[in-house]
Amino acid sequence: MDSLRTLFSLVATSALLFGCGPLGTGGELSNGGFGYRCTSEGDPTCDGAGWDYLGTGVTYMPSALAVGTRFAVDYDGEAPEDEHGATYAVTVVPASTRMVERSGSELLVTSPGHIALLGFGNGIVADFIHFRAASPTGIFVEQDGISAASLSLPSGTVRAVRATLIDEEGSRLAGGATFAWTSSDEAVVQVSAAYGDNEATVSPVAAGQATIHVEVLGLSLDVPVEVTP
Amino acid sequence: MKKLPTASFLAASALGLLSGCGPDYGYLEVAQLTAPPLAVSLTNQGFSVPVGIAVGISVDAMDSQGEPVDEDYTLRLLSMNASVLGVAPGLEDGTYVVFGTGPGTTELAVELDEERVDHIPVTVLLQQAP
Repeated sequence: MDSLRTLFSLVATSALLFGCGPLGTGGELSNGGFGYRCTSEGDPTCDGAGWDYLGTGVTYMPSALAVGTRFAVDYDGEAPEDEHGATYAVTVVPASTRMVERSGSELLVTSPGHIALLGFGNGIVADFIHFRAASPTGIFVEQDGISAASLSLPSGTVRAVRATLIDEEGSRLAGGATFAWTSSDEAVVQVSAAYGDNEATVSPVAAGQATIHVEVLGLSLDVPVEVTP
Repeated sequence: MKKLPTASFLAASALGLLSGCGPDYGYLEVAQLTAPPLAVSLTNQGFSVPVGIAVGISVDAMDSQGEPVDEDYTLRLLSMNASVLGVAPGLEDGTYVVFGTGPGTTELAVELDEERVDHIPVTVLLQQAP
């Protein structure tokens, strides 16, 4: 799955860089595309690419985003023109600021539901898309794409784990949030992550039992870890 | 004798109205161009759109006989309350995007050559919790 995501990210970003048509998800008026951008390390949409494409990289709109998360979207496609044929810049804005707030180029999801993002230029809507926002109700932690309800770590084995927000149906939710990782006993296991990152590295220290704790948006999860000799 | 100028004026005025000093507007024909994820209702009798939802529409001014107004005219749609309904032209002539910005009721004004010829009632509802 990660390799597929990597491949897609490369293709999407290449299309942007080399001008091979509109980026990301096609607009509903078929005039252009909307490219999703992660604005923080804590967005699972941009995980596992093997290289950092925060800020400039683009991808498809995720199927659902979590309320409380941040992201950015760019428009690429046909744009309104002035009488001399020069195109106006198109800015992506939410249809309703009751559901998505805009802060600079970043968007913050504030309410659940279906929400349109409009590509506006000179008072004209070039195109638009909808996405679904859902309230996160839990955290899903996985290792190599498999649920990691608990971890068994042979001494000397380092594991990469990844946390994602999920809704009440267990569907994974995209969007950038600040994840915090801690270990209940650093003499047994240590957990390290870049600030706010939803991906962490779990390293055994000595045989024993402990838990790694992850927190995000007021939700938390404890994953029991057993370090074996 | 005194009545002749008045009668002539009235006749000329009536003739002017009949021959059409402005477009003979009957109603707005609305065609939905996109399929939003939640149900919307868009007719010349009224619009109903959930908050946060956008719809692409194509509009045409029709005369009282149900034929497209065939004169050159400028058609414009205006929201009477942008905090309830947003409306903006699309890239293609005659297309618009309408979107629910907040719950409430308002009207969509239809202007032909800057003359207001119609008001379409609009209701924007909060989305139901999933």
